[in-house]
Order: sequence, then C-alpha cells, then structure tokens
Amino acid sequence: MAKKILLVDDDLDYVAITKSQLRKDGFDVEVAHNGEECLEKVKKDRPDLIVLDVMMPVLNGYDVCEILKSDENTKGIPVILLTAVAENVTKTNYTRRQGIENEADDYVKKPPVYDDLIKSINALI
Amino acid sequence: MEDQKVRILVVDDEFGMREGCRKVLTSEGYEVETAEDGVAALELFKEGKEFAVALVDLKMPRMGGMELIEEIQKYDKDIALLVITAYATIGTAVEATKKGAYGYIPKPFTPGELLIPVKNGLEKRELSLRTKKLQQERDEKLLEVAYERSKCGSIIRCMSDGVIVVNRDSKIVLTNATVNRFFPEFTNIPPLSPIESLGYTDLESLLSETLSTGSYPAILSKEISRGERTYMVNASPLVKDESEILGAVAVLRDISDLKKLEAVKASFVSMVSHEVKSHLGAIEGYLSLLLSDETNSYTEENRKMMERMGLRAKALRTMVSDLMDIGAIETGKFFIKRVPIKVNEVINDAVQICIEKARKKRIELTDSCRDLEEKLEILGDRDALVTVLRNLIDNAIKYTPECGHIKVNNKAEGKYVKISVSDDGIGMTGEEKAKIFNEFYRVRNEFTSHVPGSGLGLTLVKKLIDMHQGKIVVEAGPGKGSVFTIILPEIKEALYG
Ligand SMILES: Nc1ncnc2c1ncn2[C@@H]1O[C@H](COP(=O)(O)OP(=O)(O)O)[C@@H](O)[C@H]1O
Ligand SMILES: [Mg+2]
Repeated sequence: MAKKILLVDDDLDYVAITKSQLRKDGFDVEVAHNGEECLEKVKKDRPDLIVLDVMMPVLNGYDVCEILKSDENTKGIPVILLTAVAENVTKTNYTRRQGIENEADDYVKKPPVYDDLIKSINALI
Repeated sequence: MEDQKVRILVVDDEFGMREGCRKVLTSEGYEVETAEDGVAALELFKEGKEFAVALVDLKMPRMGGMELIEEIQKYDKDIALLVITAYATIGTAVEATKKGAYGYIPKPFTPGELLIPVKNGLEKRELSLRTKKLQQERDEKLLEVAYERSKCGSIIRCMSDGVIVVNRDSKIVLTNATVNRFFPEFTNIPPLSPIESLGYTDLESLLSETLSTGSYPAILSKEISRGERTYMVNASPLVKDESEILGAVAVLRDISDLKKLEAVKASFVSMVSHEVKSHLGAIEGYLSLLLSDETNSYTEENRKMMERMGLRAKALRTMVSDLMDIGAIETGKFFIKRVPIKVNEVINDAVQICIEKARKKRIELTDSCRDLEEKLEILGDRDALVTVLRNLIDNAIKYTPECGHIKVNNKAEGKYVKISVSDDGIGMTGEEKAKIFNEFYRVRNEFTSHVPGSGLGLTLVKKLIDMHQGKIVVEAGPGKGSVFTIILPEIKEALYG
C-alpha cells in the first residue's frame, strides 16, 4: 500500500507543486493549510510522515512539532521541518535557540528543492 | 671673538704694578687695560667693555677688591677673576675665591708667576663658556620637544576617536578625553596603570597581540562591544628606529550607529530576499511540473523556452540565496556546524553538481580525488564547503572559453589542507584580482559582458572560508588562467592547535 504523507503549508502554490511531485513518486498525499488542521488530520487519519512548514500563522511549525513529539500517540511519526535559510540554518542552532528536546527528525531548506525533500523522505520511511 | 685679541683688565692703585703687568701681558699678545681702583674699573664695565680676565688688587682706595669682585660678576659671570695680594692678606684672598674669584697671585711675583694663573683662568673661562653653550643647545631641543608634544597633545585631545597608548609592559601611558567618555573606568586612573586592571580583556588582548607582532609595521583591527555600543579598534606598535618596540597605540571609533544601520539593511535584505525566493521557487516548481508531464505535448521550441525559463529562475534564486546567506552571516544568524569530513567527498559532491555544465561547454573538468576512502579529513560544514567549491568551479566554467580545462586538486601540507581549482580561462589583472571578493564586484570586459552573474559568489566564498578559520588565495594573470586555492587547518590542528 502507498505510504501516506501529510503536507502542511499555508502556501497554496507550494502545496500544489509538492503534492503533484509526491504523487508522481507514488505517495498518497494529504494536505493541511495550518497547524490546527494538521493536528486534527493526524488524529483522524494517522500519516506515515509529516512535512511541516515552519512559517505559518496561529500555530507555527515549531509549535506543532513540539505538540506531536510530546504526545505518546504521535511521537513515532517522522517529521520533516521546512525552514528558511535566513531564519535558521543548522539543527544545532535550532535546538539551542528553541531549547526544545522534541526535535524534528530532519530539516530541509525552504523553498524545498524537490530532490532534497525526496531524499529526506526516503531516508525516514 | 675668536680672532680678536684676548682682553685683560688690571686694577691696582700702584702705578708700577699696573704698568709692570701691562708690559708682561702685552708681550704675551694680550690686550691690556688698566684702572686705578674699583670705581674706575666698574666704569669700564658700565661702558659695555668685556674682558676675559681681571686682575684685582684687594687693597685700594674708594672701592676695595672684595666689593669689586662681586660687582663685576653682575656684569659678567664667566670672567676669570684673579686677586693680587700681599702675603699678609692671604686669608682675605681665600675669602675672595669663595666670593667667585678664580685664584690669587701673591705679591711680589715674577712674570711667570703672573702668566700661569692668567692662562689657567682663561682655560677655565673657555670651559665654562663651552658648557654654557651646550646647556643652551640642550634647552633649545627640550623646548622643541615640549613644543612638539604640546602640538601632538592638542591634536590628540581634539580627536573624536579615542586614543590609548601603552608602554611595552602594557601599562597605560596616555589616554585622551574621548576614551574617558567611551569608557568611564579610564578616567582619573593613576599614571602607568596596567591595562589588565581595568577589565577590558578584549582590548588588553588586542594590545598585547600588537606588542608581540614585532617591529614590522602592522595594524590589527578588532570590534569590541561595551553594553549597547560597538567600537572599531585599530592597534599598532610604536617603534623606535625601526627595531625597538616602545609600546602600542590603540585608536577607537564608535561605530554603534553604523552597526545599527547595517543591521537594519541586513534584515531588510533578508526579508525581501525571502519573499523573492519563495515566488521564484513556485515558478520553478510549476515549470518543472509542466515539463515532466508526459500528457502535455509541447513543440520542441516551447519545451526549450520553458527550460530556459527554468534556468533563469534558478539563476535568480541562486543569487538571492547567496544574498541571504551573506546577510545571515553578517547579522550573525548563520551558524556552521563543523564536523570531521572527508575532503575527497566534498570535492566529489561539488564536481558532480558542476559536471553537466562543464560538459555542455566542452570543458574538461577533472579532479584528483577518485578515491573516496582517502583519509584526508578536515573539520568543516559539508554544505558550506560544497557551496564554496561549487562557486569556485562554477566561476572556472563561466570564465573559461569552450574546450578549456579545469582541475580540482587537494593535498596535505603540514598542518594545512590545500584545495585548489585551476582553469586555463581568461584570468584577470592584479588590479581586478584585488577586488573580486568585494560584494557585487564583477570584472567588466568583452568576455564577461556575455556571462551572467551577480558578483556575490566570491563574497560568500570568502565569508564561509573565514568561518572555517581558513584562507583563500588567488593566482592569476590576464589570459593566463586562474588558480583559486583554499587553505584549511588540518583536523588535528583545528581541534587542538
Ligand atoms: N576563475 C575565474 N577566472 C576569471 N575571472 C574570475 C574567476 N572567478 C571569478 N572571476 C572574476 O571575479 C568576479 C567575481 O566573482 P563572483 O563573486 O563569483 O561573481 P559572478 O561570478 O557572479 O560574477 C567575476 O565577475 C569575474 O570577473
Ligand atoms: Mg560566481
């Protein structure tokens, strides 16, 4: 059965592009447009992996990630965070600055180069 | 004075004595004047006459010798005064020498007994005149120095930059008012306070580094922060006769406002770039979707156009990306993560990224690192170093005409690892070479006008290499190709050196 990926981003164009690319590579893709919607969808229909944008209104990617990773039920789902270069570069910096233990499983620079994203996904699934 | 005859004054109330002396002295080539008592003698001085020697009898009517000696010295301090006296008054003669007479001649005397003390007196006068002249010269020099000092002093006081001078033991010799305004701790410190007593470790270490640079003329620069303010400090050794280090001077400029402006500029640039980049990413993404969609049947020409659109969008995104990275480095938001990495793997990655572009231009791109198991390691950020090499190889491809050759080499050299990218392309002049690391700088000539670029690549390269405590050097000549070499500390050196 095809693996299910939940794609969370408020940028509709990115969602459209990435969704098509992932589908072409044989993934099942669900979409959420903000943090709350993401949490709801995770509860309803557990995905195999979550691609999460950092910059979103209301609940940002960091917050969503922390909620998911501190919950026993969702802890096991791999999370890839999409971060912008200007904001943040390395994992160490991210964890140091945020003081978060519940780290994401991988980080991909945004805008995502599809090759980088698919490499990261394949490594985690 | 020199070629004039030496003039001698004889003061005695006895006519015979006066004339006797005159005869002896004149025959020796001296010019002689006489006076019959103290009052008459003083008249001569009042008239402005000068004498090298005065022979003075003690017992005279009107003014006696003792008083005359004192009076004469008011006119002339260097005159050699000789007292003529009878045996009976030797005690008084000794008294007279205490008052300033140089010696005495007991009466009666032979011509020889007269001439010897006169000659001695003249010598003594000569000596004291010479000493006086030397003293005067020294005073003049001191005055000159003092004047120079006060000139410098005024200049230093008026400066809006802070000035700190320390001696070779790092003790403070001088500070100006501006320093005291920057750093209140410096006000009213006792002279020669050690700089380490003030708790400015960054300043202290810069100065001690300066003192240890040797007499080679060098300026060390460092930014130091104090609370909200940032200062640019330039330090230089103070050297005497090109060898001996006397101390060091630090000049401080308050660059806080500049810094603020720079930060505003940087965050603006990064905000704009981020926006630009996400739009470009969307364009690129849609284009690649369209191109990969097999159900669409584009003409060959349309497909070409879309490919070009994609390439241009990508070039623009790379440029914005460079700009963002530079901005992030400048605002201190860019961190690199240095881990042990294999040099050959980094080179291989970068070469793989560029190989297609080189092939299209029929340029031979070779590297000497086939063996990925090769042990040569450095402590570095893999992404950052791939970016560096990718930029260097990309430039080599861009600035080398078709069918050229590019070589990527690496070798260990003592404590360092050298990675070089050499091409046989257009090269550059020394003048151009000096500027290529500047932001937005691009060489303008017939060849480069057809090459797209932003002038940011090497700026980023330089910054990334700096973050690795490395160095980049360029050898190039116009038409002779270019060699860019990066020098990075070898892993043990980076960890423990
Ligand atoms: N290998 C090279 N050979 C000749 N010139 C070069 C080479 N690399 C860089 N340059 C010169 O240095 C300039 C700055 O390079 P860079 O910062 O990478 O900007 P860009 O490549 O975008 O113009 C280039 O425009 C070019 O004139
Ligand atoms: Mg370039």
